Amino acid sequence: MLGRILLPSIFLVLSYGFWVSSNFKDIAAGVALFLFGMLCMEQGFKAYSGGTLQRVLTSSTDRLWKSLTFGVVSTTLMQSSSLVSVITISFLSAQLIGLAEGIGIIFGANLGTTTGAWIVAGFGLKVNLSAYALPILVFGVVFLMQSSQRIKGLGWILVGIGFLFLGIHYMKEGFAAYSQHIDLTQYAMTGIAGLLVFTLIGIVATVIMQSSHATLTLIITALAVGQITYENALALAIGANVGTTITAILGSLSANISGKRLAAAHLVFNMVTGLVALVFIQPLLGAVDIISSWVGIAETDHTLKLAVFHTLFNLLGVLLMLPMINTLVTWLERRLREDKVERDRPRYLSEASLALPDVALTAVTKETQHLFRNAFTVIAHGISLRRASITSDEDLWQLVETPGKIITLDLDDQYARNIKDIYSANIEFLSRAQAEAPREYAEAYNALRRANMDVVAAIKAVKHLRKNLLPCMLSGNPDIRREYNRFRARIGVVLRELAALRDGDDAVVTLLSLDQIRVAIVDAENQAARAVDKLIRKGLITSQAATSLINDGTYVKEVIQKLLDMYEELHKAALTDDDEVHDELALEPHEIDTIADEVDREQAAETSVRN
Amino acid sequence: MTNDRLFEKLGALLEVEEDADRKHIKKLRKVLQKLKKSQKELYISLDEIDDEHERRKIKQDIKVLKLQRKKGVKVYKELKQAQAIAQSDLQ
Repeated sequence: MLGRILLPSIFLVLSYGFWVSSNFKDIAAGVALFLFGMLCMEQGFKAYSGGTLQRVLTSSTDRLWKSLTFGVVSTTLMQSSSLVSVITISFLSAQLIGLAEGIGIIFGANLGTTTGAWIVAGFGLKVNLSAYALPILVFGVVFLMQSSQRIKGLGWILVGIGFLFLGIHYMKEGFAAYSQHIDLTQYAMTGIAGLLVFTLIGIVATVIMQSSHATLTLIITALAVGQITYENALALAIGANVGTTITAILGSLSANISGKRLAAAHLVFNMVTGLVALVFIQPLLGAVDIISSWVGIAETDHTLKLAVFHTLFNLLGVLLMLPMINTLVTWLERRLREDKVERDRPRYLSEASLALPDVALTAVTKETQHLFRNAFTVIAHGISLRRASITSDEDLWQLVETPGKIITLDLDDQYARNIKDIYSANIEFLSRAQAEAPREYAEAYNALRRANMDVVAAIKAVKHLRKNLLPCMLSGNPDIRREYNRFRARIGVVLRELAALRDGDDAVVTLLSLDQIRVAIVDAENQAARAVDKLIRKGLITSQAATSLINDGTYVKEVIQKLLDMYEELHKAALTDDDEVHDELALEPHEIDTIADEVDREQAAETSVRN
Repeated sequence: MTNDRLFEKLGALLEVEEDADRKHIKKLRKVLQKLKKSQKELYISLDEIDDEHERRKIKQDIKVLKLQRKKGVKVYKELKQAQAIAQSDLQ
C-alpha cells in the first residue's frame, strides 16, 4: 500500500520541483548522478569481492577487533556501508562468519562510512570536481570495454567515481544558485523541536535514497552555501545514520535468521548511537569544537566540523556498544528465533549472496549437504533402519537380520517435509547464480545441480524398492527375508561409508576413496546375484519371487549409484579447474570389476585351504 | 612488437605453464603420500583382524590404493620427464 503511494508521490514532488525551479533540477540531478555513481562503484567492487574477499574475510574476522578493522577498512575503500552490510549478510547467511563477527564488521562499517563526510567536506567542496569527473569517466568507459572481469570492475569503479564527482558538482552548483534566490534557512528550526524534526527528515531522506552517503553529501553541500544551519545539519546527519539501516533491513528480508539478526543488530546500533547523539548533543558539540581547534579546523568551517561530529558520535556508539556485543548476540538469538515449521527450509541461501559467485557457490554447496543429511534420514527410514544405527559401530549385516519393528512412514510426506522445499530452492538458486556468475563457475554449478538431482533420484528409487521390501522383510520364507535384508544392509553400508567420508579434508583423496566403496558394491552385487541363482537352482524360491528380487536389486543398485554420484558431484564442485589429479588416479569401471573378482577368488582360495 | 618484447611475453607464458606443472606435481605427490599412508594403515589392520568379512573389505581397499598409486606414480614420472626435457630445451 505504502509502496503504491510513495513512488507516485516522489514523482509528483520531483516533477513539480523541476517545473518551478531549474536549480532544484540541478540538485536532484546531482543526487541521481551521485546514487548512480555509487551503484557503479558497487558493481565494480563486486568483481573483486569473490574469492579474494572471502579469503580476507575468513582470515580477518576470527577476533572482534579484526572484524571491526575489516569493517572500517572495507567501507573506507569502497565508500559504501550498504555494500559492506549486504556482503556481510550474505557471508553470515552462508555461515562463513558468526553473528558476533558480523556485528563487528557492521560496527566497523559505521565508522568507515564517516570517512565519506571527510572526503566530501575536505576535498569535494574545495576542488572543482567536474574537471576531474569527465576524464575519469572516459578512462572508466575504456576499461569497461575490456574483456577481463577485473579490468571491467576497475572500469565500473572509475565510472562510479566520475559520476560521484559529477553528482557533487551538480549539488554544489544547484545549492549555490539557489542561495541567490531563496533562503532555505528561513525554514530552520532551533531547540529540541528542530533537532527532532530534522533528524526525522534525515531518516526519511536516507530511507528514500537508501544511501546515507548521498544524504550526507547533500547536507554538506547545502551547509557549505549556508542553505541549512549548522545545528539542523547535525540533526540531519544523525537522521541519515539511523535511516541507512534500511538497506540492511531490505537485504535481510530474503536472508535466513542469521541475516535478520544482523540487520536487527545494525538497527539497534544506529538507533542507540542516534539516541546518544541527540541526548548528548551539547557535550558533543563542545567536544567537536575542542577537537576542531586541535586539528586546525577554522571556527567557521562548519562542513569539516560536521565531519568531526559524524565521526565522533559513531565512534562513541562503537565504544558504547562494543563491550555489549556478546549480550547483544544472546539477546538477538533469544528474540529472533527460527520459526518452528513442519517443512524443513533452506538454511544457507540468500538473495544477497547471488551477486558474489564464490559465496553463492559455498552457500549452495552447504545447502546441498543439508539436502543430503535430510535424504540420509529419509532413505534410512525408507529401508527401515534408524539413522543412529547406520552411523554407529554396529555390524549392519547382523543388525538387519535381527527381527525388529518396521519403521512406518509416508515417504511422500517425508519427501514433502524434508526434501522438496530445499531441492526446489537449490535448483532455483543454482539457475539464478549461474546466470550472474562468470563462465569459470559453470562446471561447479552444473555439478551441484546434478548432485541435487541425484539425491532426489535416490529417494525415488527407495520409494519403488519399499513396495516389496516391507512385506518381504516379514516373509515366512527365510531365504527371501535374508535377501531383502541384505538389500537393506547394502544401502546402509553405503550411507555409513559416505557419512564417514564427509569430514575428509582433501577433496581429491575423499573422491578417490569412493573407488573403495565402488569395489565393495560390485562385490556385494556379485554375491547377491550368485545367491539368487543358488536359490532358484535349489528351488527354494519361486520364479516370481526370483524376478522380484532381481528387479528390486536394480532399485538397490540405483539408490547406491545415485548416492555415489551425488557425493562425487558435490566434491567435484569443490575442485579447482586445474585439479586433474583425481581424474588421473581414479579407477575405471573395468579396473573396479577386476579388483572385486581378484579378491573374490583369493578369498575363495583362502577359505578352501582353511577347510 | 619488438623481438625483446615478444621473448618477454613468451617467457611469461612459459613461466605460467611451468608454474601450473609444478603445482600439479606438488599436488600429485601430496595425494600419493596420503594414499601410501592409508595403505600402510590397512596392512596393519589386516594383520590384526580375523573376521572374514572385514578382511575381504580391507583386501579390496588395499588393492584399490595400490592401483591408484601405480597410476599416480606413472603420471608423476611422465610429468617429471617432461619437466626435465623442457628445462634442457631452454638451456
